[in-house]
Amino acid sequence: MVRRVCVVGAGVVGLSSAVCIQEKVPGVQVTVLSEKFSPHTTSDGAAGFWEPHILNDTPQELIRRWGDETWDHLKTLYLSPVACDAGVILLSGYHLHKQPQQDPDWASTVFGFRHLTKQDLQQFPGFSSGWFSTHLLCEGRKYLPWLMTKFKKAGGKVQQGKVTSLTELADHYDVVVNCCGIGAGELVGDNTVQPVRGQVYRVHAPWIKCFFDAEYDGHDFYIFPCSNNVVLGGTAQKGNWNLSPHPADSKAIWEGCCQLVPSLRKCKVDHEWVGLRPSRPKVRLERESVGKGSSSLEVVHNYGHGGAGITLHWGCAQQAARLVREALSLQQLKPKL
Amino acid sequence: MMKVVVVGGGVIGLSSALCVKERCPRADVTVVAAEFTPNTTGDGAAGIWQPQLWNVTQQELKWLQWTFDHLSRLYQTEFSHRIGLFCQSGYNVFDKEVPDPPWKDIVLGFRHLTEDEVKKFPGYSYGWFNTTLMLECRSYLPWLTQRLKEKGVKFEQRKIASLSEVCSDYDVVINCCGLSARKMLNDQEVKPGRGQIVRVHAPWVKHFLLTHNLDTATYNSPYIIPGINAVALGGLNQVGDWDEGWREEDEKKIWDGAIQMIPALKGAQVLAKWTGLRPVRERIRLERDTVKDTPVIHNYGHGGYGVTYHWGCALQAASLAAKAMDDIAAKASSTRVHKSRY
Repeated sequence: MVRRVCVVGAGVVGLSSAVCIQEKVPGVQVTVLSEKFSPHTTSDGAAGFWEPHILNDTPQELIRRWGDETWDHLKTLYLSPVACDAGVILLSGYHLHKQPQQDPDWASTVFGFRHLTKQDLQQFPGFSSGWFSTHLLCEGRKYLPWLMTKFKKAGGKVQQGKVTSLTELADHYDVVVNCCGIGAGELVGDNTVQPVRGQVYRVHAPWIKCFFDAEYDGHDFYIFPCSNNVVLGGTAQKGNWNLSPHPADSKAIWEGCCQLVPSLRKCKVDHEWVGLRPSRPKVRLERESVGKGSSSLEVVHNYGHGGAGITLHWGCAQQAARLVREALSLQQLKPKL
Repeated sequence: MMKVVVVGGGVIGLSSALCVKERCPRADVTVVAAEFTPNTTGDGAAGIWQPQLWNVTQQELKWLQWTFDHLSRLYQTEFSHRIGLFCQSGYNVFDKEVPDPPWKDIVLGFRHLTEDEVKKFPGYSYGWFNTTLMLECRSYLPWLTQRLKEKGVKFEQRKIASLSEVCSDYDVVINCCGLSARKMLNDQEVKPGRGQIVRVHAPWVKHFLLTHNLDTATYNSPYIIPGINAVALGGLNQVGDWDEGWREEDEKKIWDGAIQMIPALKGAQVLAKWTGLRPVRERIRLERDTVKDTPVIHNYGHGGYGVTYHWGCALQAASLAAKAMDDIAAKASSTRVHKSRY
């Protein structure tokens, strides 16, 4: 008997969960149900830089596990013929600080992590320390369509629509995977999910081949070159739901980035964008039995990835697939009445 | 007023002209060349700042440092990208452990590859990572030309068969003729190092990758070098081959080599194809000579490293030219002979 799984949400977490479930769970028909699809998801606007970020109290051991699994997955994609289609880029660059900082946990995951030398720092007046490392970047704009193609090829179904409550899906699905991101407050009443507002420019500057990430005085100015444009950012405003670019933020970002890389002053702006990182005290990745009797439903929650959706997505998707398998075996023991 | 002619309009010629004019502002300088941008050898080159791997003399090391310093200063400006100048990191990979290059402290952040990194390059077991500067002559040469014109330097498009053609009209000749030195001066040490480059649209590649097969000549192994708007795929250095035409079997070699290193390059859109002849010589010839009683400063034979050496060599050439001009002036005042060309 074919078991029906519904994945709610079509951002990077939703689509990767859907693909992992198809690959790892036998005998299922997967449907992705979402209000928004690429290019209108949060993942589409993000630069997609692999680096654990804005994860609050998520246990370090989980961040490491999910992050490293995602890193290995992206590395495999990068070395394969699909790197360009999947939007995976190898990117080196500079992390700049005004005070020495402890080496990050991910230092041993990325390639060639090292401290900046005096010679390096001469390029960046005002900064006294930092790191140089080679990361992977996965562009949502290319990755999501690539995942979707994979998903559909494996028989996945897609439905556009807004879900107001998970239990309304109980009649049609055996397991629901909840990847609703920032919508968690509305959908499941989880008000611990709060936006961390990020504003960026996308500019045309093809001569920029490396990233810059400067953190100081509560600011985080960054420059990430992607396939076809360069992301200039950013902001991290907790609790701010405003999706329109704010002129004061635009100005601060522009100045902050142009100070780092003077040649940016003359570049052409393509557009501005605002995304709401779905921040939570901890990533929620767990099973829950919801509803009773005929409207009972096994749910696997997979949301609240903050600024690390792309960074953790594959590790989380693998775990979600395992939890779906668990939920399905449980259901076999307790069939619905 | 001294009349100086610079023979050759490539990156060596134009930078030499600029250095001479900056050093001797009152000199009357003319650049004479058969080809100007966008038809010089440098225009087609990828433009990576990277010298020969080893075997660098102390003097060459100085020229290299001067060039890198000069480009670093230009890089800090707002217009750097408009003159084709940008920064890029990348990989040099080998199939065995090799000594460090003598220029490792000139480039930025030079280090060996970690074991994890080497695994990205199947078939190679050792390598370097560093950050360097890139200079695209297609943008740089027009900018040099503009600066030269602003300083009153004249340009003449003309093919010269022999230096003696210009010796009678000028006080000092700076000879930046590149590969033409073979015919013009009968310098048998100058040979063409034939290369083909396929330029593709692959803006997602952000590092250079140079593979090395030490049994063959340098640059005779696949390389991938992103430019501002296109990625250059190459990997041939056929020394002694004068053919400027396009060869399909060489193109296939280039594609096979590139795809082996980065499989996702398969199917990339081709934007341009180019064949160039590097002016290869065992050593750069940068010295003073005399032809028909006229001092000639030779500055040619930079092989695949024209961009890499250009400014340091231009400064040296200008210094030699200034000395030659001083010698002429000294001789003139001591013998009090007024020649018609003063």
